[in-house]
Amino acid sequence: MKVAALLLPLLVVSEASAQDFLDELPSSRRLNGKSTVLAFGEAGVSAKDSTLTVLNNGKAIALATVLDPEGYVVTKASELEGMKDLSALSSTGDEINITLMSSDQKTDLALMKVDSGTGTPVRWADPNNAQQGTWVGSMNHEAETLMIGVISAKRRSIEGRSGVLGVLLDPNDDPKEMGVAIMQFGPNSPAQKEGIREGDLVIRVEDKEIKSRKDISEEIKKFAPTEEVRLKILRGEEGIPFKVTLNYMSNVFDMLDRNQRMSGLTSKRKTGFSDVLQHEIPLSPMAMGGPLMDLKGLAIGVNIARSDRVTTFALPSSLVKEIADKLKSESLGND
Amino acid sequence: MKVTFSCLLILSCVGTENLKAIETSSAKRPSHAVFEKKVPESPSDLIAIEEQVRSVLKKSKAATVCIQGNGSGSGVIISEDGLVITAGHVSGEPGKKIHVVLQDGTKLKAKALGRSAAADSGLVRITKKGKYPFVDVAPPATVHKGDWIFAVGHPGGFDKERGLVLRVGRVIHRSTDTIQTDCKLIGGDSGGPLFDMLGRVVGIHSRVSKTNEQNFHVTVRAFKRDWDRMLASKIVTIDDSFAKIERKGGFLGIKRISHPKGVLITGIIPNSPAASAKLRPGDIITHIDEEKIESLNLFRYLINQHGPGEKVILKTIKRWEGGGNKIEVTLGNRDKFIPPKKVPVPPKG
Repeated sequence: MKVAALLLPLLVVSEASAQDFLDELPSSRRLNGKSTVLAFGEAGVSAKDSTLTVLNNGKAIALATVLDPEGYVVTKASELEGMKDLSALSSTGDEINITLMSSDQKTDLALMKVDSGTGTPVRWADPNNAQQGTWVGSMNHEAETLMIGVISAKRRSIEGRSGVLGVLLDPNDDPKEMGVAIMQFGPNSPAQKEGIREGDLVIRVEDKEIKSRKDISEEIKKFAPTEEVRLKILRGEEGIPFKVTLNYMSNVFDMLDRNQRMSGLTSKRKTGFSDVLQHEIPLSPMAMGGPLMDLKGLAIGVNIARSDRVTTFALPSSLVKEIADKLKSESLGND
Repeated sequence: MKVTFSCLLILSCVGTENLKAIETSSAKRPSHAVFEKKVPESPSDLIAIEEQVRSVLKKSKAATVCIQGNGSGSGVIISEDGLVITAGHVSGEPGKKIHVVLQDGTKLKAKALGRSAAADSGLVRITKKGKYPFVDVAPPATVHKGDWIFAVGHPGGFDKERGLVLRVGRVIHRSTDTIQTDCKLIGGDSGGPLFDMLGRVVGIHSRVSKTNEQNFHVTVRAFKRDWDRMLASKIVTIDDSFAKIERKGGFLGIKRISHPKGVLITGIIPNSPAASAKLRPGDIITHIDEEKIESLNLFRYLINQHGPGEKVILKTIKRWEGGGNKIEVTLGNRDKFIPPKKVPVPPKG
C-alpha cells in the first residue's frame, strides 16, 4: 500500500499534458494507420471486394483484380514464373481453384480464371483523371489491409532492362585477344548456377565470337530476363557449351544498389512498361496485380511493380482493359 | 496571467536582417476542419487534404531543385536571388563549385556556403544572377506532431520524364533539430523540402531508417540557430551551435535543472517575472512558445532570443500533481537582476 501511495501522484497527469508526452504520433493516426485508412470509406470496401490473393503452395505470391462475373482476373505475370501449385483466396477467405489462361510479356499482365461469380468485378475510372496528389488505395499483401497514398509523379513509360548473366568480367581484358575471363559472380548469378566457374573464358555468345567485354554485353542486351542464351566457355584446353537462362537485373544487382538496399523487398521485374502511373503506396512486391482505387471506389489501374522505397507502378486502366481483352480473345481462340 | 489552452495564437515576429528570408509568415494552418482532427474521418476530409496540397504544389515544385556536385541531392530556393537551403551532406565543403538544376532542367552554376555536420543543414548560393522561383520558410516550431505535411524531391536523381516526386504524410515526432514523418524518402531526396499545408518549408530531408515511417528532416530551428555562420560559409560544429549565443537580455528568474519532460524549477528569484507569474519550485517548464524543451541548452537559447519586455508563452506542469498550464510571461531585464560580470584586470607586474 505504501508503495502504491508513493507511485500514485506520478500517474495522475491530466489528459492534455499526458498527450504532450506520448513521444510519437500513435501509429493508428499515421498515414497508413488503422484509423486513417478508414477515411477511405466505401472505396476501401470496393478494393477488398475486387481483389483476390494468388497462392503457390498455399503461400501468397500476388494479388489479382476481378474483371467480370465470368471469373476472369488479371495479375502480374512474372510473379507466376516457376510456380506450379497455384490456388487463390477469395475476398471472403475461401481457397479456390485458379487457372492461368495466358500472359502478355510487354505489360507483364497474366489472365487467369476462377469460378464465375467470384468477387465483385472492378469498375474502371479514366486514368486521365489521376493527377499528382490524387488519393489512391490498394490492398496489401494477402489482401488483408488497405493501404493509401497519392499519385506521386508523372504518368510515363519505363525503359526496359535486358536479362543478365550475373558475372563480373576481367577489367584488364585485351580486346584483341579471343575470349574474356570471368572474374567473379554476382548474387543469384544464373551463369554460376549452370556450373560456369571463375577464370573460365567466354569465347562465344550465341553465334558471336567474343573478343571484348563489349562484344558480350551487346549480345546479352538482345535478350530479356528468363530467356535462354547459348555460351561457349574455354576452360583450360577444353571448349564447353552452356545454356544459361538470364536472370532479372534486380535479382542480381539490387543487393549492390544503395537505394535498393534501403527499399526492402521489391519486384524482380520493375522496368519495361510502355505506360505507368506512379504512386507512393508502400505495397509488398507480393501485393502486385490488385486494383489501384480512387476515392470513388473506381480502379484507375492495376499495380504492376514495387520499384523502390518511394515508388510503386500501376498500369493505367485503359491499358489493362486493352490487354485483358486481347488475352481473353486469345484464350477463347485456343479452346 | 493564466490563459486556456485553446484560445492561444502565437504570432512570432522576431528576426534580424539576415533572418528575413527565413521568417516570413505567421498563419498556422488551413481552415478546413480536417486539419484540426485527430484523423481524417471521411473521403471528403481526404479530398480537403488533397486540394490543399494541390493548391500549393505548383509553387512548391517550382522552387525545389536538384543539387549536383557531391552526388545528386535536392534543395529548395528561399529567396528571389537564389539562396538555397539543403542538407549539409548535399551542399558539401564551403566554397565548392556545384550545380543547381531547376525543375525544367536548366542547370545553373552555384557555390556551397556553410553547413552544419551535426544538424545536417547546409546553404547553397546560385551564382548566376537572376530572379528565381522561391518559397517561404515557416517560422521555427510552427510544425507539430500530427500535422499534415508533404515532401518533394528528386529521389534517385533528376529525371525530367518523371519530374519531382510528391509524398504526403504526417509529423510523427519533432525535436529541436529533427522532424520525423511518414513521408517516405530515399537517396537523392536528401536536402529536399518538407512543406506544411500552406506551402511553407518546415524541414529539409536528411536521412531515413528502416521502416517507411522513419524519415528524418532537419528543422527550421536548426537552420535559424546556425544561420549567420552558415551564411558566412563556415562549418558549424556542435559546440558552436549553442556556445556562442548572443544574449538579448531577457530574464525569467528561475533556478532550474534539466528534467526528462523539460526544465524543473528549483528556485524562484524574488520579484522576478517568474515570481510575478506565480511559478513555483516543482513546476516543470515543458514548452516555450510551443517549442518543446529538450535540454537546458535549448531553454537558455530560447529565453536568450528575447529582450527585456518581450513576452513568452510557457507551458508548465506540476512535478507531482500533473495538470497543465499555459502562462504568458513578460521577461525582465537580465542586467538588473544579475549585474554584468566585471572582466578581471590582470595584476600588473
